[in-house]
Amino acid sequence: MTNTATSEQCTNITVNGTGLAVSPGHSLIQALWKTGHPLFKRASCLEGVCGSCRVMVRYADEPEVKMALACQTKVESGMQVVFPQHLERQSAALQTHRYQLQSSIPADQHLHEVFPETAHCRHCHGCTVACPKGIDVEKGITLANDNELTAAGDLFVNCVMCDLCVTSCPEDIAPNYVALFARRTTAFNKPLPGNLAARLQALQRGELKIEY
Amino acid sequence: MANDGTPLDKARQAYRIELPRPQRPSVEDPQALLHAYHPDYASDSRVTLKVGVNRNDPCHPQLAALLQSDSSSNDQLLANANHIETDVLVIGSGGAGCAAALIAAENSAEVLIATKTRLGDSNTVMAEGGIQASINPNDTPQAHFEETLQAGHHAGNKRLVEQMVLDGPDVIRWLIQQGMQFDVDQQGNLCTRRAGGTSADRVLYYRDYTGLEMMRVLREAVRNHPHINTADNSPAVELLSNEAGHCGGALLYSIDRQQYTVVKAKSVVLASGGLGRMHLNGFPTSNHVGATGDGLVLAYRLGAKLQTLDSFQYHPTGLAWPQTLAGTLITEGIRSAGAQLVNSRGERFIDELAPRDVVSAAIIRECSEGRGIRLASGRQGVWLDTPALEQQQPGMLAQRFPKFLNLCDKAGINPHHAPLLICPTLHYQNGGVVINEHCETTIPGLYCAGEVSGGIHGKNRIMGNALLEIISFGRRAGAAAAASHPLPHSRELTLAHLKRFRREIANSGLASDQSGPLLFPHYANFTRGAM
Repeated sequence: MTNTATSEQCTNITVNGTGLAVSPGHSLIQALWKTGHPLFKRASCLEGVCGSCRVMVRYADEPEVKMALACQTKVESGMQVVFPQHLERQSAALQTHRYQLQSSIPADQHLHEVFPETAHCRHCHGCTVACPKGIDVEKGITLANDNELTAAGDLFVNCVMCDLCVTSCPEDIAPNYVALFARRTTAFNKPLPGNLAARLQALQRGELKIEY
Repeated sequence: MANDGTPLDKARQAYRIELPRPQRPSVEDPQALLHAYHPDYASDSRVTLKVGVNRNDPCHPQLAALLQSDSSSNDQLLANANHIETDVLVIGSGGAGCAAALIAAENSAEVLIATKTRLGDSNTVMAEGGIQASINPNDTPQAHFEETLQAGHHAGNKRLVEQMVLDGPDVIRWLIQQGMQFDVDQQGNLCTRRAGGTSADRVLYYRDYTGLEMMRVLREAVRNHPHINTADNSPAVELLSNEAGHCGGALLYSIDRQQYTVVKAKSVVLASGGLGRMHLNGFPTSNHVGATGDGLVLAYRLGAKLQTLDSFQYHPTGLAWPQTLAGTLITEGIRSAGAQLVNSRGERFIDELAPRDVVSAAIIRECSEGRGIRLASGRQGVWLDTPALEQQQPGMLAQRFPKFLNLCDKAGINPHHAPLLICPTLHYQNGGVVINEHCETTIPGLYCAGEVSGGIHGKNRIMGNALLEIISFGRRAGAAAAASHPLPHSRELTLAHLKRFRREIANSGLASDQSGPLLFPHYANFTRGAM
């Protein structure tokens, strides 16, 4: 951020429809900051784990639009960039997906009660193409529909909850939330790890006091 | 210039994997090393506060300027604001804020979380190393207690540390109950690794995504809770006091609507995190964009006592090259797994698992004595020897450190073959708002949890204690805030405390053209819209 851009050549890009000359070698976020562009709502961790800086990018001479995280994307001449709004958290689909983890219902049955549209997947690959972390999102939904919840959740280790898969689904499935449900129920339903359980019991018996 | 160090290209060519690698005989006294090289110990690293409850206390000069700055709030702004009410207002939505909200709501409170960015955008989500909890048979809470205090140079509050280490195992149980996964071994026991400055394997983790996994789960638990509402993009710009001087709410600014809202609450939990984006002493930082010390500013103006304002953590291993990624954190977990630090002469120069402040001071010493590796910008660093780690434990990086490999990919470095250039990065605020066991501050109605509070880590924090602290104290703050009983008939919320504070500033002759809270670093080009 403190780089001087004295003799650097500028790179021309388009952001939300506006042409901008930015300094090369930087991430989209850094480059926009350096031009004086106000950018604070859609930038947070800058390490690719918070999902707030999701962007749609089309590189020069490439027909298709790619999904990416702006903090992980270097500026390239001729690239077109759009920062889509984060609307999903208010979306009707997500409003209805409310649940509390519980052991009284089998996890797979519970999943389909909370996320009934998961069964409507038409295997269009939209979610998988949209994922900036390279997760096979659609396979996760297929596994969830086959009641393989642990396997479904395991595919989403790298998920940063950017919600681009939600945006891309024509059936209003919220794949990352389905996967998170699967991951959470997997953890919730496992017996407590042995070393943890033993220590909790010892603490309960009052064996481990602190002296000072 | 004798202390220039070796240019990067030359150092790259000279690098070889060496097993075992020679270590310079260590005769030094850690205290002497800290005094000579750690930024906290430099003579220009503290001034004396002139106004407020911490008058005459030492404070970092940049933080002092902010604490003693003016506010943009005034009575007119308050009069024109929207008004809403809740039982508990939580400011900040990282791990501490979410834990506080969940427990407050569990205790029958209606909760509003106000967050500057989006729910969960925080330093928590970036935490890599893991979370401390003494759970192994060969380890005790007593050792955790002593090592936390020891690493913090015995400046921590023993009662708070005791409570935190005893909370540890139950914090893990609670997180699992929320649906958080941890790495387990083949016997189904939680995996552990050792933090620098400690004697036992006590850090639990999920890959190097511990914070991401924690935040995914807590954010979802919050989203699903019927009694928690969230205000995104709504930073608190002032705390508000009632006629007794107690905290009774806050003034929020909606970035989306460019409007102010007065939130009246029975109690307020401040969980707004740290200040890495103030770039103290010109250091790069590992912190998220919103870490601008807002909570300290708001609490101080209201009259809450702060502590240890001259002590900060410079994490030893921030990426130094490429420049565009300078400051990005490389987890201590990699050193815990066996990676060594190597200077330009191919020597190890410090026990890699010494306390963080000592390791950072040693790196700075190597660089200032000509054994660093120099960038074109003049900045220097040393190697983190990942190729040797990978040679000794093939597959380790891929199995345990996916976030690190993603960083390397972005940096264009293959860590299996090339070492990474690292130098210390501003990581953590060791001090903060004074709290007691119930997370009460010196101002009734105001509770604090997480990095914004002080007293736990003393003058240096060990890996994994931050994630433990935010959940341990976050839960306690939520419970205490939900149970708090405000004064009867306390109706009106005012800026009376701000008037007093401004008078003090005027009387002290401090002319400040700065205004706080900062909300965002200057390079994010943020401006508050008109009413």
